[in-house]
Amino acid sequence: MDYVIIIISSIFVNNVVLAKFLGICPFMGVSNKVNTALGMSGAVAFVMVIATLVTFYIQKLLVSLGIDFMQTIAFILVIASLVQMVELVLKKVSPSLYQALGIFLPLITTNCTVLGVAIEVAGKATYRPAEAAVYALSNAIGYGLALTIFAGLREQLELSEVPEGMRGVPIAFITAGILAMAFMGFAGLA
Amino acid sequence: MIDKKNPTIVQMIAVLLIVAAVCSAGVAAVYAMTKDTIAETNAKKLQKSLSEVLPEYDKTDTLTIKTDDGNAFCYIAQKGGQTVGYAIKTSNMTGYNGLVEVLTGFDNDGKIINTSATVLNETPGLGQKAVEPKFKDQFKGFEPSKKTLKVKKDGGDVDAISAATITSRAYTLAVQQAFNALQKHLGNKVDTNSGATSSANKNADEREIENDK
Amino acid sequence: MSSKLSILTKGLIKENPALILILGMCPTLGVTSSAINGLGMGLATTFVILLSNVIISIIKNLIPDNVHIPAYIVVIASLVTILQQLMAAYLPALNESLGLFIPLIVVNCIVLGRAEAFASKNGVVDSALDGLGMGLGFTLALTVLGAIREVLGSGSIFNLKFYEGDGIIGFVLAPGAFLVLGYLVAVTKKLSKKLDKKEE
Repeated sequence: MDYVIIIISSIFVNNVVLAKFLGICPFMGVSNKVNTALGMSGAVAFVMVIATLVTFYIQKLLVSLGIDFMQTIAFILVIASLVQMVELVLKKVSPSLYQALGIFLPLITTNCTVLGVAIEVAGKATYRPAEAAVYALSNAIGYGLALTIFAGLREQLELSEVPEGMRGVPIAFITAGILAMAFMGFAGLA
Repeated sequence: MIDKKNPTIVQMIAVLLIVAAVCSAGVAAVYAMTKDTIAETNAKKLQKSLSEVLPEYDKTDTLTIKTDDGNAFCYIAQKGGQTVGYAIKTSNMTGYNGLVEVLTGFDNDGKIINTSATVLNETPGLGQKAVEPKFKDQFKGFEPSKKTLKVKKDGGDVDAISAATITSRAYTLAVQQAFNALQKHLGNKVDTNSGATSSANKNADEREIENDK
Repeated sequence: MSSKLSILTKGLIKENPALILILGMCPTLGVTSSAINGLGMGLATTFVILLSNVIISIIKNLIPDNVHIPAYIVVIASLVTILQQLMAAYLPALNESLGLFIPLIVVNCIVLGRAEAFASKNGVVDSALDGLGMGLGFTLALTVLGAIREVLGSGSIFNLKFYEGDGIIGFVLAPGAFLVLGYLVAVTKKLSKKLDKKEE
């Protein structure tokens, strides 16, 4: 597999948020400010790459034991413990970032991006570890890109006049729709 | 009883262990219950796809053909001891949503009998149209040795689904992979010596093939 | 009795998990390209919420506070795995079209959310009703969203084609999902406000 193809297609063409609909909850939740969005993306990228690599080997183990039906349970436990670790590390290393991400850090566990990408990679039998890591990283970058662009748009949106019924979540979804349309233009790249 | 507010480490570990054990037991029980049904459902699905792409047969041999672009899984259909056709399952990741897996049936001359998508998770109303006759039927009777297995946009002879070139390309690529695998299996004899898939040829090639049985 | 009924019905509109609480967005957007998929996903999620609510309300007193989240996640993940196997065995076609989103029910915020906010504080019957109500509300939202997208995008409803030829393809694709959901949320907000006024 060509790394360039993996990178381009997972960042732009099959963007994890705008084409695959993963990780929408934090997409709506933390995307009010560009700074928070960046922090969240960093945390997700870190967890995602490690989680994908760990689950990559766990999948091999499960298959060799013949219990790959336990995949979902095993993966979610690994991800949940990883998130706890990241939380502890972040608390020590960067208290301000820890403050900013607040409630959303534990929520990475229930961020379907991480589990979704891990399961996707596990399903790609031909992937080697390096490809799995690149796939995870580029998906995380795609996630960060969508989140940051969206946060920028929403910062502007707060200043504009929106009909009462559409304020808040509805207009955010419409904006996301238009953003998704823009990203569809990248489909030609693949 | 367990102190909910200030449990000891032992209590915490014990509770988690018990929860995990009970849950795993439940999952394993359901797995044991559904295992046979799942296998049956999958076998039925495979039989249905095979019967779509192969002429009438009474038994199939299976083998894996190793090619440059991954492994192809091959079903050799036999009737009364005679080989009547080959169904080759190939996949690639170039679909709009990644994995596309196609079962392609060939007759002994290397002509395509029919194709059937075994894994196709494309966009409904666009790429998913690859399962409809309008797209699929053009492969019936297609001779890859005479025509080019590529969409017309890329200079081939396959009509792409409108607005779903990516899916059409992926599907066509899978069919091409199947043809490559068949050629490798038959030792390139289909081109020059149409129909004469002599057993000598097959035997000569058998060494390269990792038999799956 | 009326309080029991209100536990069941509040999930439909007033506290609809998808359209008012904005939870469980991934499957809401991801699988609703047709009404059947929306309905199937909704019912699959209902199965998990209902059972996880019941089980968690039974075991809530046995789980120490500081390990309750991992314990709940194990319960939910097991239920999802059981669901995966049942669907692979008996509903293979639906299982395939829902694909990745079935294992992702584990991380659907609605399931853990209800376990944490309701089942861990209430009795078995109430928790079951709450799970059922929330599940059905989610199913309703997904089915309506799927139906709208299918009508506009494919010219059919529940796979019954009423319009020959192509629909507006954009509605089947990602942008249509966001747009339709945006308008649906706005409409539901309005509806729930009206309901509130009536009650006053």
